Amino acid sequence: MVMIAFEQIVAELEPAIARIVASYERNPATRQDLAQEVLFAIFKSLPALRDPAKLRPFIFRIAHNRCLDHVIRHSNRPKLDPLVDDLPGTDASPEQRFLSRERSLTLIEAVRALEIPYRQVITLLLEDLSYTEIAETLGITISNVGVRVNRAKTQLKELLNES
Amino acid sequence: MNNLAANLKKLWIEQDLNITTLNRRLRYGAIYWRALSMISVVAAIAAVGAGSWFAMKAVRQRDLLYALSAFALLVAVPPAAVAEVRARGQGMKWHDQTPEGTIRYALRRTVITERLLRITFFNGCVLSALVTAVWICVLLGLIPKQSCIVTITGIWLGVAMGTLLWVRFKKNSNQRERERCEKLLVEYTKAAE
Repeated sequence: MVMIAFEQIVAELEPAIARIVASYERNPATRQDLAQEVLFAIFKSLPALRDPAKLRPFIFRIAHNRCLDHVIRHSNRPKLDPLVDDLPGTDASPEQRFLSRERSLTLIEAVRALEIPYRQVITLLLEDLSYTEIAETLGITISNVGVRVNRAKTQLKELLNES
Repeated sequence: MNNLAANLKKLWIEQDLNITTLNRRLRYGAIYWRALSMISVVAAIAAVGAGSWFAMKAVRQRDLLYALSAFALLVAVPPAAVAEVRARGQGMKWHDQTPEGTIRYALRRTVITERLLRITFFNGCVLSALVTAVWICVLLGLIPKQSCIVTITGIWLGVAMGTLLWVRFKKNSNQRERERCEKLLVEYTKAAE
């Protein structure tokens, strides 16, 4: 029964989990392992979910906590360097694609280079969680969510201006 | 800023990332972790059993080599096994924790690891001392010199040296982990202001 529920959840939330994991880990191979650990943690914790309406905060909390633990163990704070993969291709010319890719990589990398408290609120916001859901996921007040979002935006602008 | 937000949202969602869902691996993972805990318990029971058997042989045959081996097994292995099982038993429930709670748990984990490393270091020293004691007894004629003693003490010394080197390596990585936790706690404290 738990397995069926788990498979349904993974089918629905797998892309979001992958994006959150990617915000903590740059190396694709390590990212796969980390994603498996996140899924395993979700699998083990699922019986504890009491309110199905709070599924997304529940899942994202586990994902962020597991990724945070990974950072503590391995210290993979990303610097603002472009990655090689992860972006979809376009139909533009090679030169246009290269320039567009460089701009895109910097934007995503800037998110990955944010301090973790701010990275967490931004990534959850990008996953369309409300401020209430973000507050519940991170165990903070709604007003603190707002403060962190503003500071995250300021840090993002600074990082993008530096690059 | 609105353009930036819109661009970021689009790029974020369009990231081409795949994670492979290996359900079989998840099931095996659960079995693997339970098995590791069982191995610690079994190893401790086996060590106590072997140590007791050596102790009986030592008393019956008045053999110093058996006595020293019994001492090493009964003194060194059980405390390490108990400490490790207790450490594993303090596992975190991810769904219960806030990010700060996760970091504080990781900090506690470094403290427990430090304790385990001290016990392991002590075991390495006990084993080294045992080898020294055996050879002193051989030189004093208290233990007859047999060819197997060189092999046995050689193995013990190898294990002891390997253990002490491993402890040194783990201590450094544990220290780095603790520093990361402290740095992250500062970030979260600033973010909460």
